[in-house]
Amino acid sequence: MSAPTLAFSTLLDRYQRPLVRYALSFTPNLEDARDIVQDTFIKLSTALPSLDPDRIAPWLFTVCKNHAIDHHRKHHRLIAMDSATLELESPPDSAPSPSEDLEHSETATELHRLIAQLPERQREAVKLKFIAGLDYKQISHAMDTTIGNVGYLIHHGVQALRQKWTAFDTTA
Amino acid sequence: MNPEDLTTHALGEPLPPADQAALDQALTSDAQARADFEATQAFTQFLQQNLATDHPEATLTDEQKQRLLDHRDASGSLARTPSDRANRPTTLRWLTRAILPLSAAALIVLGFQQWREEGHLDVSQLFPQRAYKLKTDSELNDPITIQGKKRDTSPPLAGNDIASPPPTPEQYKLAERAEASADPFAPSEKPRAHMLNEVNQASEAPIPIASATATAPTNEVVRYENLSRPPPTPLIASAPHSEAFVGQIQLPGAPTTDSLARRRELGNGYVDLNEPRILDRAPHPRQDTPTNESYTPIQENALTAVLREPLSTFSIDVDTAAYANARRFLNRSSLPPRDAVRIEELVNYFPYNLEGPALDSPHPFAVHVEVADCPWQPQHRLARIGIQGKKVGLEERNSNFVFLVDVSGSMNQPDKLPLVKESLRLLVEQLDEKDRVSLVTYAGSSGLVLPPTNGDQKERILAAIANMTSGGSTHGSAGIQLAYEQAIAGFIPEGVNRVILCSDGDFNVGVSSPEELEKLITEKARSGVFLSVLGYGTGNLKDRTMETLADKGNGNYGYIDSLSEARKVLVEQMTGTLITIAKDVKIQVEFNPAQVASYRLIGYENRLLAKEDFNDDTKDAGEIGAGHSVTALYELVPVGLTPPTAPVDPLKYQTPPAAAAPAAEPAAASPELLTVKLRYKAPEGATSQLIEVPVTDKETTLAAASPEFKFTTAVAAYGLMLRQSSYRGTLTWDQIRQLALEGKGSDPHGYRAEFLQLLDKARGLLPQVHASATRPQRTWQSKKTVVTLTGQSTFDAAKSIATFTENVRVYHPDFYLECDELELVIAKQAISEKPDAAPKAEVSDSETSAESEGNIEKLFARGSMVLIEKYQENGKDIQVGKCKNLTYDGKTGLLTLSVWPQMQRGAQMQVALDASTVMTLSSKGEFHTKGRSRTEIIQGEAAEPKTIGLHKTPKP
Repeated sequence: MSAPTLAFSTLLDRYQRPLVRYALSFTPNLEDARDIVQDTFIKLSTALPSLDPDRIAPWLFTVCKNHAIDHHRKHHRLIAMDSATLELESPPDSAPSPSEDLEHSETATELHRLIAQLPERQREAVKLKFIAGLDYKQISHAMDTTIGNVGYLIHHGVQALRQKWTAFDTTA
Repeated sequence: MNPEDLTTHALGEPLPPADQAALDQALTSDAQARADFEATQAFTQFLQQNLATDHPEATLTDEQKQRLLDHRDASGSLARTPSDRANRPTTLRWLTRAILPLSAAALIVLGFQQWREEGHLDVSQLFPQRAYKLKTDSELNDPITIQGKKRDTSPPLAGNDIASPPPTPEQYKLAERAEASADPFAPSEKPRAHMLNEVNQASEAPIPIASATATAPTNEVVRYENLSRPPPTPLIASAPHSEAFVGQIQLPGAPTTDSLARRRELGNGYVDLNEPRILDRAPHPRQDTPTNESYTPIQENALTAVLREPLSTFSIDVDTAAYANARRFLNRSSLPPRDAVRIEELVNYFPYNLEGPALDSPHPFAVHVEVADCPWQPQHRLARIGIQGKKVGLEERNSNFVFLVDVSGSMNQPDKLPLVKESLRLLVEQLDEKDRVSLVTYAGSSGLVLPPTNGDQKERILAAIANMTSGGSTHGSAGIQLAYEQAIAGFIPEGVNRVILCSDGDFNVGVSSPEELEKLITEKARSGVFLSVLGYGTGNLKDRTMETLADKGNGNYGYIDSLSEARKVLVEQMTGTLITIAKDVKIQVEFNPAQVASYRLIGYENRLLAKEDFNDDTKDAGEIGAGHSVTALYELVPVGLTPPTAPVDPLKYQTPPAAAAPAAEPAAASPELLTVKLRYKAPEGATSQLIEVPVTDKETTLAAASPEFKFTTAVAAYGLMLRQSSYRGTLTWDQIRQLALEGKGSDPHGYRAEFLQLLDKARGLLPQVHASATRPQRTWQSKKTVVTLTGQSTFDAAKSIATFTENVRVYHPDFYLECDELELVIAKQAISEKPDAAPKAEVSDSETSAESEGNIEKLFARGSMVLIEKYQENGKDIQVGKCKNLTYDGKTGLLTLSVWPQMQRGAQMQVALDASTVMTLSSKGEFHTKGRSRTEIIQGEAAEPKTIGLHKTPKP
């Protein structure tokens, strides 16, 4: 095994779980998430020689996100006009079918729902921080902004989440 | 101090020294700041715990990891030898670049030509630009498409920069994606794989792809040959790339060919096909589990001459997967692959209103045969053979049910607890005094809501069900213990003793481990108390847990997403699954050559049996559950008509009539059309019983046929259309819709209403048929509004209000509308109403129509689905909308759609996300939406937009 291969396998070990987790914040389907992460690593394998080692983590999560968005486009562009025969309407969102569901705890599900309500940049920063587990510097690379701005985004994201969670927790 | 610094510090991120000092200062001096900091820290830890905890499964599979590593090795070696590539003579490189597109073009032309020759000409003429796509879609999984995919693995396409690195699977992947996304009809890879799994489960003996190819119809084989012919340029024949192409005709599994070997020697720039491909979703799918990406091809049964083969034999099939499968495709606005459409499964999806066997009948089912005109070949007859299994109601098996209901907070959604209540109500309504019901709920604490209660105390049971409210978190283990205690308390020997768990899946096993729980359930199952699990809702369902529980508990697992599904699972399938009434059910039909020249069994292609198998009790066949119905259709060509098949030259060495004479002679005098013979075994039996039903054609017309007949033919016709069968004859979507409407009947479960929707979707996806068949008569372009209906129409002269009910269609100069109820406020002028006037060809006898000559002031339409098609002045552009309530203002021409409206024009689709969203459409076609909605651009018309946002690859 050559040195880059070694690095690749290390990176694979190190990041595949956080990446799958992160991908799962875009799709409810584990298989899809795995595909997205697999695509991400394929891309990494070609791009690795040209990447700055310090920026590999942000790079991975950025590519993962783009793959996830592509994937979402590919799979959700179509329409379903359904449920007129269903006596009970379910939301017209692309609700995952049961077999595709991951076993989320109610708490995590609720948190994901609340995160989804955050403004885009805050949401992105919060996901990268808490789901992907990146530090501020890495997030600043991934989001192409300053560390100070990351601090700002995360602060506001976290405080908003905290308020929403408190409100949810007391009503539930 | 910046407030952000608090969070930053709470997360353990470094701060600039000055900020850190300020923060420390604040934390020591300011109690509020300290409290904020602590709360933030606690909350961020909470976030980390809940968001960054791994599901054990949230990881790549080992297989995927290994392949990534393998791939890395492979691409690493490619990357290490870029110089090889640079050393190759430039001329060759240019040649290769030029040749690839050339050969691709040649292949497309050849393929298209061939395809046209095969009789698809009608489609291609009508819609040339879609023709190729339809083909790739419907034959997605045949080797041609495999080849099409591999085309992308071949060397870089012209236009790539010379210095570009060798193609990697990533590029291949991108190319494949581009191809996939350019084709609006191609189902995405994911659902295909899913569905294939289902199909594999459904079909007992999937044919491996290699043998499938071998048994594929001749014309397909011819097509491969055509494609594999080297493109007609001498240059190409000598270039390695054309070799690559030919090589790709070889199916994987066919081992290394010369071309492959050569390719590997060439090495650089090629992807080795023998190497496991990283992009395959499943490990080695085409080799190990070949059918994973393929449907067993269906060669439709051909018309068979009765003189040559007077017997037709097949096994019954109660599978219905293909219907749901096709539905899934259509709901994603794509056409199902042709081979996914198994017509018998479509037909058998629906419960039919047929009489079961008489009480004194020795047989567990009744056979009904009806013969009428064939809708797609008006000169032909269509025989419908319907088998109705005995309905073994729960009343014959005393039942002891314990409902164990999750009432935790998460169940507080319309598709969860309310639906649970409705489902249980359905089940309770079937019970009587011999049955017992208990109700246990679990949440923060579990509780016995209703001790074992006799089934005749329905009010008490229903009240207990109705009074369940949700709240608290989930603790299932105590609940399940309690439920089993109740089941044992109310145990009915020889009865159905069952705990029915209803949950959205957050089944917290509490103190006991999952293993203990499973052990408990297994143990109880042995003692005769089974567990059925009903899953509700989406987004939180622990599918696997629940299925495991049901498995351990000898039970079944159902997923309930709607009341109609609840009915299907709890009312029909419950008895059907519990009780098998017959096994190895086979059907053999003998045709009378004096009446029938030839016949064709519709569907059941992979259930055909040899005629000898019918009487052979060792030959396995299908099972039938209580209350199941099975339907088969035969298209019959009466004697005296020339069958549309090419005539075969008379045999030279034998005299065919002589061979058939023994069978033909004695029956010739008989007026009978055919005889249906049916063999079955009792569930525990080993020898079969025979039922024989002779059938005489009563010359019934299609119009006079029973509703069930009409509906069955509509479903079969829909299958023929989806398959684009060459036997579909004169079918139009309108005709199918009409048949389905006439056969819809009371449709208590809404399956048939849903079918009508699917028809609309399907016809929208086959637009060439749509355009010519469904809206041909723009006769209402006259300034006349015509309303047709099948129910009642009343007119209140005092208020000038006309009301119409049932299947109401409005042909207005500006739009076409379908709804269940319609109210018209008509400006005071002469109004004539003509019942049974039936002014249009498409209006059947059973309908009435009304013509209003006054101006419509207002129009109100309601229905489970109101369909509106609004024409623009140019007469071409159509806006199609759906909703549940619609109003039209005759003065302003404004159409208002409310209650889940949705509207489509061209590629753009606006879908309400809320019941209260309102859409309006002006007479000029201006369109407004108020309320939450989503815009969807249906792909295909425009190039897909590129990734937005943050994608900036960091610089090295």
